[in-house]
Formats: sequence, C-alpha cells, structure tokens
Amino acid sequence: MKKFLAIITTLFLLILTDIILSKYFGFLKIKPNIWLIHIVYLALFVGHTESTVVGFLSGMIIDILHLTIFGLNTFALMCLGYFCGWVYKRVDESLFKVKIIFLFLSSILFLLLQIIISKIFSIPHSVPLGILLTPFVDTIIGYFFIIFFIWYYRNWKII
Amino acid sequence: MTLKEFLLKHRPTVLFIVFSILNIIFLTSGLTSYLRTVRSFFIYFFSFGYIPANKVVNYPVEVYNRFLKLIYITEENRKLLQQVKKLLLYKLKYEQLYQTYSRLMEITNVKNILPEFSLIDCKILVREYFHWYNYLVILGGKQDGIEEDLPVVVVANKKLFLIGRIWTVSEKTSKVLLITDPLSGIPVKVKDKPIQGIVLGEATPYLVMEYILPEDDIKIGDVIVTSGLINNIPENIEIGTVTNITASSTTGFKKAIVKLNYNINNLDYVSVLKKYNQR
Repeated sequence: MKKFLAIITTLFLLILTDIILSKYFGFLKIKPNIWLIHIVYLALFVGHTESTVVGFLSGMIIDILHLTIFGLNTFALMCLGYFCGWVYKRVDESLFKVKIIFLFLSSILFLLLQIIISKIFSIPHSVPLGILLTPFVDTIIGYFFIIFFIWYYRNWKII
Repeated sequence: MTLKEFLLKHRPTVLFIVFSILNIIFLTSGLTSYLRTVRSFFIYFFSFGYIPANKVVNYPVEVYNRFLKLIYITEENRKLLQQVKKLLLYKLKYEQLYQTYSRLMEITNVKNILPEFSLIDCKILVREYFHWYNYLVILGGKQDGIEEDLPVVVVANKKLFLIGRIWTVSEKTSKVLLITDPLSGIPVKVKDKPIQGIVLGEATPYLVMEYILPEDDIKIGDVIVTSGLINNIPENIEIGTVTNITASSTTGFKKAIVKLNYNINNLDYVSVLKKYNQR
C-alpha cells in the first residue's frame, strides 16, 4: 500500500513537473523525459513489475495530456519498463556510471521503440533533428532526478 | 506448477503481454479522437496545479520584463530629470523677469512723484561682508550718466526709500556710500512737522538723528524724510521711523534712534536719482 501511495504521489508530482518543463523546454523541442527517468529509477531500484505497470500508466498519462496518438507512448514506455526491469538486482544500481549509462541507453531505446511502433502501426510520427539530443539531456538531468527519487522513496521507506 | 504459481513467477511478463494486447487495441481502434474529453477532465483535475506551475514558469519572465521596464523607467527618469532641470531654469528666468517687470512697474509709478528726476536702475554687483553697512558696488557708472553725490534709492510699494549716495564712480561701476555708514550724514526732517536734524550712520540697521532741539515735539513712530537741504537729494524721500528718543543732559539736544523703513539687508537692485537737466 505504501509503495502504491508513493508511486501515485510521484506520478502526481511528475504531472506538475511535466507541465513546468513543457513550458520551459517547449520552444526548444528538447525536453527531458521525466517519465522515462522515473521508469528507469523504478527498474533499477524498486522492481520489475513496478517499472512495467508504471511504464504503462505513465505512457497513458502522456498520451492523454499531450494528446499524441493514444497508445504510442503507452506502448513505448511499457516496453521500456519491462525491458529495463530485467536488470533489477542484476547490476549495482548505486554506481554512478550504471545510472548514467542506463539513462542514456534507455533514452535511445525509447526513441527507437517510438519509431518502431509508429512504423508497425503506420502512425505518422515525425523525428525532428533536435530530438537526437534528448538522450544527452535525459542523462544529465535524469541523474539529478534519480537522486531526488532515491531521497523521495527512501522517505517512504520503500528502498 | 499451477497457473497461479506460474502467473506469480512470471508476473512482469504476464503484465507485459496483457498491456501489449491492450496497447495494440488502443493503437488499432483509433481512440485518440475520443480522448479529448478525458484530456479536458485531466486538465480540469490538474488545473490547480497549472496555476502554481504557471507562476513558477512565468516568474523569471516577469522578472525579466520588470527589469526591462526598470531600464525604460530609468531612461524615462533621466529624461524627466533633464526636463525638470530645464523647467527649473525657466522658472528662475521667469521669476527674474517677473521681478524686473515688477520693479520697472514700481519705477514707472514713482516717476509721477518726482517728475523732474530720472531713475537709473542698477544691479548690485558687490556687497562685502566686512563693510555690509558701509558701502556697496553697483553695476552702473559714468557711461550710464551716474555722477558722484547722486542719491541712491530703492523703489518699493510706490515709495522711494533713501539708502545712500554715490561715493565714487568708475566707467562701468559705482560705489554707494550707505546711509548706515558712520561717514554718512544726511539732513532730514520729521514728516509733516517742522523738526529738522541730521541722520548719521552707525554701521547697524539703525540711524541716529541728531541736532533735534529740546523744544521740538518729536515722538516715537514719527517718519523721517529727507529735508532737501543738501544738493542733489530731493525732499520727502522716506528714510525710517523713530523708535527711541533720548535727551543730552549737558546740551539739551534730543537724539532719536531711527529704524530704516526698508530692509537694507535685502537689496538686489537700486535706482540712482538724477535730475533731467543735470550734466
């Protein structure tokens, strides 16, 4: 129950943060994907099931809030959560390089998943050049977000 | 292994499969167009979050705009200050012109009192601190027709007040010996009374009127005017008012303290009286 509440409140906070970030980074088209960062955190620190479920929920929230093709982000983030979840308890998540590499690879994987899904389901999905910078932005900003998530979930005594 | 055990063991994979099926349904059924209402609901639900979020986002923009405004205001303030300085100068000029106008009007009015005299208007150039009640220098000399011993007056309230005589004259300036100087002695009389005497300066704003006969009925408050017994100084030019009277125990002559009727400390312009036919 505690875990459920912690995840719900985090999702709520992420919605607000996403609104702020959309305002700030909206004109640059390069926005750190905090949902992805959260899923990576869950996959590394909380569990495989959690990362899959939250990936699905987060994707739904993005699709609803940003009014993209419904299912695109849901599918991509759910897959990401599932794939990333395999590393749970298999790597030393406390290491700096693990977090960084994982964030970077996850970001690339997410972009690839979006492209693959859009191709499979013939969804018009544009890939602007600036989006190639997203993995770097996600990695840099994501690291700080992960530190925050560690602190936050530790307060809930989940990890 | 039962189904339950299998599901529990492979929960993430099972969930993945279930969610994948759901996602395929979502993607193939084209739910996007139906989601606008759900989105509106979400936005309404999180609208209270939008307000602080917008505030957080807009705050730096506001600060930046205020900063820009500040620059604009500073520039505007600088321009306004320049304008204020200009206006202050204009005000000073206007006041000066108004004073000159008023003085000239006064002079025009008093010309009827002494029709045979002309008034030469002069600005005070120098008034030394150590000789405050002794003399002053005016901007007006030989080239303006000023000569030695001519009376110097001040025009105020349609009256003439004697303040001194021309002592020395140069080409462009003249030195005025004030009536408050101890060297100055002017024959005077009490207005509307047959009492005569001489006022002497004491280097103070007060004069002393001497040679008043013991039987003369001089009183405090009597106005002292020029008697006209000295060359160039016309009759009935006001000097001061009697404030105190004393009598000498030996000679019996009375002595009157006369307070000047015009504030001699507040001189700015003076006029030199000169007869029209005087050369």
